[in-house]
Amino acid sequence: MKLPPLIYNSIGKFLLFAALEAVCLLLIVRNSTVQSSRVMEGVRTVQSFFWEKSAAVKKYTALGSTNRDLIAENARLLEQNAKLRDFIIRTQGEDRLAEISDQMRGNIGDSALTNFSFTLAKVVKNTLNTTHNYLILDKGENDGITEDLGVITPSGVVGIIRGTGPRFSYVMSLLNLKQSISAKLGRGSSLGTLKWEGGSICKAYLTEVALNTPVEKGDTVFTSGNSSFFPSDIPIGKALSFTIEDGMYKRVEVELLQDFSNLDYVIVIKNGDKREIDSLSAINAAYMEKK
Amino acid sequence: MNWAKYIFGFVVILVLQLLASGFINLWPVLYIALIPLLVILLPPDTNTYLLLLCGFAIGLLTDVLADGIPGLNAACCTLLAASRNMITRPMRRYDIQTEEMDLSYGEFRPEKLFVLLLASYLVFFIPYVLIDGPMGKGILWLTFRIILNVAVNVVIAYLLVRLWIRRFF
Repeated sequence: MKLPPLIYNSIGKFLLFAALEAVCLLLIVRNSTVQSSRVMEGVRTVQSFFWEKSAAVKKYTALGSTNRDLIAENARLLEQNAKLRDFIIRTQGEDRLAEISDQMRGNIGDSALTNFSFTLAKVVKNTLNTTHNYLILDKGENDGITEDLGVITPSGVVGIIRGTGPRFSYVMSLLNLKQSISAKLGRGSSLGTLKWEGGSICKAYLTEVALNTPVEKGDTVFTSGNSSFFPSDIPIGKALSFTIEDGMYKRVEVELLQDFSNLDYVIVIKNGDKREIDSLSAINAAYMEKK
Repeated sequence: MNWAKYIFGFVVILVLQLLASGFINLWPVLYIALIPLLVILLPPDTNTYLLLLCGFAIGLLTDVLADGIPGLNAACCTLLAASRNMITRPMRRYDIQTEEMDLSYGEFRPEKLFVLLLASYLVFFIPYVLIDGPMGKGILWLTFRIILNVAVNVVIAYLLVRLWIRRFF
């Protein structure tokens, strides 16, 4: 493309002017320290301006990858954090487990716990708003968990394991209409059956308590130890009031010690004598059937 | 145009400039600059390329012969040469229209000559002071120095042109 003479002429004049000024500037910079430093200062200022702008542009265009890196880093940190938290909780849990075990041995007596072993498990699911509530624990057959093991916390009874998978187990909560636990009032021998009847998750009822059993508000309800699920004398709740049922038994309203809405870790109790007890119970059942 | 007279006038102004640079030192911040006159008073119809080269050569010659910062006068004279036609074109057009003749700048009327010198010295001294001025003095000092140099040099140049130099151009 041929440029118009006027533009061609103007460009030529400008180029000549620029060339002459460049020569002058070169002379000045080469022959004068002060002017050289001033020119270099100006050049550096211009350079730094462009560096700053280009850095800003680079930074802006790299935001996508920076964001991706940050998300990846965040995910990695979250994973690490979860592992560390789990480690801390497990460590604390194990310490706590040992502490509870010692406490229980102190409260209940060594002889009652001789054949019981304890496994710490984390609650991964806990339902509260139905009449057939249940829990899922993160321990299963791989961890030696089997059906019909009791589940407790330091505050009381939680439920009984009714199903197991390789890694998880299903616990029928005490807050389930189908669940009942053998319990006693005080440390005596006034047995009864503890059962949740719906409604408040803080209350259950100890039924079939003998009429001659004295009931005071604040009396503690313990596990009876008459089943193979729980050792005896684990505190479950406090007596609030009672009524006479059919003129034959007392029905005690019990405030549960366990807060079911705040379950994180639980203890699975394994009774070493359970198999023998169950087999003997089976003999009894078979005998009754023959009769 | 009589080139012999012009060259003679050119030599005289250059010698005066060298004398002024070498011997007249009123104040370090004041620079008696006569060489802009050589650029201003080049023939009005001088080709721009030639004007640029002449401006550069005049400045460089002064830098070489005088004891200054090499390239400083050359840079300012080149800039003045580049802008000379822009400064003088409106003035020349007016005079051509009214008097119907292509005046040389030496024949300008006094007020127009004054404006021409003022604009030219401003173009010359602004870069001169900015490049030559000491660092860290601030904008007020630089402004003062520009005004001082322009004022003194415009008066000197005006008197020189009106009283003597116009005979050569």
